[in-house]
Amino acid sequence: METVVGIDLGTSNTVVAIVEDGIPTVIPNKGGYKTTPSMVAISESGKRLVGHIAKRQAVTNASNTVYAAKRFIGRKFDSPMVSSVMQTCPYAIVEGPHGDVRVQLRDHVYSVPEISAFILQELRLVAEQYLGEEVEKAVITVPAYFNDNQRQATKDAGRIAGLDVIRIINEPTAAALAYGFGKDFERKVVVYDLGGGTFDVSILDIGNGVFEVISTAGDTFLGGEDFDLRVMDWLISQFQEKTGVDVRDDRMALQRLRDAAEKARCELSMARESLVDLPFLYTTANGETHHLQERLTRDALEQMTGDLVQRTVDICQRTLSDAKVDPSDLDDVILVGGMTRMPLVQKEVGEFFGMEPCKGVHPDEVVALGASIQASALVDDSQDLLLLDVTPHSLGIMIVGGFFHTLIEQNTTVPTSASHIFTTVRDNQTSVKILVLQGESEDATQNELLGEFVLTDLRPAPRGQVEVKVTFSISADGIVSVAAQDLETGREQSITVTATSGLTEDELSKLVEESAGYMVEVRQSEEAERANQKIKGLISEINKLFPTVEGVMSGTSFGRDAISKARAVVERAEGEVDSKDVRVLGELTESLERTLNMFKGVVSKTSIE
Amino acid sequence: MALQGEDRLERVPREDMEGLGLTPQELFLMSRVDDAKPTVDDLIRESGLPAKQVKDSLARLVDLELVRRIRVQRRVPTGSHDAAAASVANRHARRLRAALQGGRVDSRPATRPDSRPAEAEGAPEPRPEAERSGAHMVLPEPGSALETPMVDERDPRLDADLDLPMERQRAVLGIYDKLGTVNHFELLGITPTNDVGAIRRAYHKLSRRFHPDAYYGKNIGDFRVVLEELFKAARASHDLLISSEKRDAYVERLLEIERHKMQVAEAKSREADRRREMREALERQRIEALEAKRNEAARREREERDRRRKAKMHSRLVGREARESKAREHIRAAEAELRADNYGAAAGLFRLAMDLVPERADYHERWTKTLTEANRRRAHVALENARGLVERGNEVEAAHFFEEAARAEPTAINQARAAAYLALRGDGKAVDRARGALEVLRKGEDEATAEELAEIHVLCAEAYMRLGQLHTAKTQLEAAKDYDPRHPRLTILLKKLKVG
Repeated sequence: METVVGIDLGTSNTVVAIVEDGIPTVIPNKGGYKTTPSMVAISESGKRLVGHIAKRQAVTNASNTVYAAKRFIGRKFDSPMVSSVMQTCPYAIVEGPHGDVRVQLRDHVYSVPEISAFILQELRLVAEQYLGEEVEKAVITVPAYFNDNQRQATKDAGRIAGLDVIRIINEPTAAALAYGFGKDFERKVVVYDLGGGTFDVSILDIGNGVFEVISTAGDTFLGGEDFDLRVMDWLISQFQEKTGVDVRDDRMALQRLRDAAEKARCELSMARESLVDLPFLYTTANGETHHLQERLTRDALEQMTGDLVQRTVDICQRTLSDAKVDPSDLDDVILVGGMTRMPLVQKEVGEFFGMEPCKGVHPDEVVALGASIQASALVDDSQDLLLLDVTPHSLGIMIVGGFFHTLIEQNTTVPTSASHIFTTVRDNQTSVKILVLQGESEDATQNELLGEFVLTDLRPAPRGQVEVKVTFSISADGIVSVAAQDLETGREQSITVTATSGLTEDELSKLVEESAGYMVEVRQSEEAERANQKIKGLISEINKLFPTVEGVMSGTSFGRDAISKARAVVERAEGEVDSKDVRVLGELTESLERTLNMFKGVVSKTSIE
Repeated sequence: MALQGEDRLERVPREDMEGLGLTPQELFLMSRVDDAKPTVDDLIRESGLPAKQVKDSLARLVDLELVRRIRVQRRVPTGSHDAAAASVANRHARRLRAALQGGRVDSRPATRPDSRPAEAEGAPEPRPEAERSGAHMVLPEPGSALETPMVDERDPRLDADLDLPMERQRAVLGIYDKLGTVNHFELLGITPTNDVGAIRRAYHKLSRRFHPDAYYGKNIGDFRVVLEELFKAARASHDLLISSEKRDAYVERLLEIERHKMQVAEAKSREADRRREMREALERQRIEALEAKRNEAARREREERDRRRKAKMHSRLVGREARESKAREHIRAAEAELRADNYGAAAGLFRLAMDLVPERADYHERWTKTLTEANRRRAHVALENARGLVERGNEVEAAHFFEEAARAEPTAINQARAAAYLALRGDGKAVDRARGALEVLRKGEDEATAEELAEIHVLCAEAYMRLGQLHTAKTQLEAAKDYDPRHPRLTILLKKLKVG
């Protein structure tokens, strides 16, 4: 059975997990941490840094460190969310060739899926190191409320990272999988997932090995980042009040403030008060330095973020009523995401659902565990569990007058499909353009445009006589595809898809190739690193034995010859130990091992005599 | 309410049986009503007693509440195919209705008044036999699993090379072939139910079988399309049934369909009944016509033969001399028969002689005397036979011989006996015989002792009792009491009459 990992590609942190011997396990990274910050940076030397290393240097390299890239994935540059984030973003956001969001780090412009791919690649390496084998397949989670563009972009990210993304699953659903895995019960649960950047709420029916999503809703632009921004704004305004200085144009200061805000927010989940102390935050042109020192209480935090929590509760309310579910029907509330550690969130959620939230799951790890469970359910025949998820948005087309015509309702179980028959409106019309959208608004322009589909090569005929059946399908991944058929001739109709955002197929395959090269490079350097450590170990062992061996052997010309040869070997090894050439390192290791064996033989003889 | 042959009986446990004045026969029958819950027919067969007696005794036991009946219904009312279809359709509708009321069908009371009016034609909701058989129809729990249909092992669509077990392939195609003809409950593989949990469980079970994820990375060929369609169908059925409003509306529609089917089937069944009746009537009419023709022909032939015989005789025996000589021949033959103890044949020959020479009074006398003796002897033989049968307990058969004796020698006692025994088998002739016996007594033609007179009245009383004419029976018993108050059966009969 092939190895398929589950990856929770989060806004702030990414986690990788695998089902081992039937037990879902989170794989720790090189530093021993189970979560890896979703941060990517390019160092001054042009080196790519991912995870903890990227986070550690963020303050000093703020403009070249990307965090929370997930907030941009699959979004258009001109969307209001992107422009709002750009104001406080320390790194440069530029418009891509397809109206998509791109990030400029030093002299290179990266697409968002590429940035996400760097993180996925890092986690892939973590998994490979842990498992001792190559990992080529993955199940990746996305917020349930992600639309098709965002899902597609996430899948692209996986592809760039060299991963075959066998399934995209929703984060709250994954959490429910981990919660109900291996338990034989029938329960109706709600998953409240407030992460770094997104909020989801899903209602599920669990029982008989089936995890069925009844309803899902959310906000893909509401999470810990927004809470931090509130704290940051408050700190900035306090600072401005006291010093008259606006730090918004200082990227380094902004990054320090961001870190401090996050730290304070996290602390206040445990403590009632937190001290924000940022010495030398700002130095004016005339050399005047200003320090920031503020006391933030939990009450103050709750006051400045209460409306955000209320927004999540409102969404819960709407979801329940849409699904015709009463809070009393629910057996459990599962809290997922780091933000659910906040006491205010726990209190409001508990009050709304009328029950103490479930404490049995780890809010940071549960999603990745769920992804690994789904991975194993797909490839392992002995796992008899099934996920029935829904599409979070209605799928439809734009019709005359700019109205949105729904073809597949939101919360429809996937996979699903719907057909619509199009006719020509002009004589001898040879093509029909169809705008496919996702959303709940009657006004098509308010909804998310997934793509323009053009039916081409229609047979010439008087208007209204050509009827083309277009079938819109949503896969179990929640990804949309379109197929068309001429009703009269039964001929499959060709469809051209114009990308409206993200990457084109050409760009994508180029990136996949590039990243494959990068993977090889990384692997080699790791091998070299291991060889390097080994050589160093051998040298020090040999050096320890040198005095003894010299004493024994220097009496004969043969002995002297052998000693000088050994010394030459060690000197050469010391000289070339930092080589990246694996072949050279292999040779060095071999000769050092021979020398060491010889030395050991001499020493053991001596001790017997 | 008369007991029917197929009625099943069971004992009612009771302590206080003394003082009920049960006859040995009744006690015996009661002892045979055991745990096996025999039918009335069983008891008639096992006891060897006349059916009427058994039934009467059992009816009394039922009236005394020592025994009660469990009414068993005939299976299919008319035995016709359409009626069976109608009853199936009805059962279907009924089951649907019952299941959706959220529980098992209540058992109906074990017995039902027989006086229930027959099915009215065109009644809004006819409830034929099937309705009543509900008492024994065990319905499956609502929402319980139905059997999975399977296609034939040789179905050409099955493919052993696929990563899908053969059994699974057969089951999948079995359901697939039924798409469009099964209702939503059947598609989910359950009996109709309002239990949302059961509907969900059934849907989940099917999902695990049909969802494409269950075959991720598997080579299942064309089954992928089939399974996709099945998953979609299961999903649609689930979505409809899970909503109580939609389900209620759907069930209404199903019931409507079932009712319609039932009506069609019933109409067919009524039509079939009507046709059969018509056919039978025609058949009867044809047979009657044939018989009438045959009888007419036979009558004509008889008349013709008679006419010819008389003409022949007349022409032959024209002279008195010739007639007298022929008569003498007959007398000689008759005497020879008498010597051989053939009184019947002798009487016939005397009769022929008398007919030839009517003026001879001695011929007439000899004829009557011989005839009387012949009848006496015939009656004697018949009575012997009858007594023999009675001794063997075969009283119903004996009635035939008693009747013959009464015919041969219509004395009061013979007629009374015939009456009593004919009454046993419910024969209407019994009344005539009893009346005949009483008529003889009234005329005072017989010489009889007081005991014999009492016996005659008792026998008549028994005949009337058996025929249910209790009042007349009582008069007879009183008359018998006047002649012989110590008559052995008198007391029992009087007691019985009182209870009855």
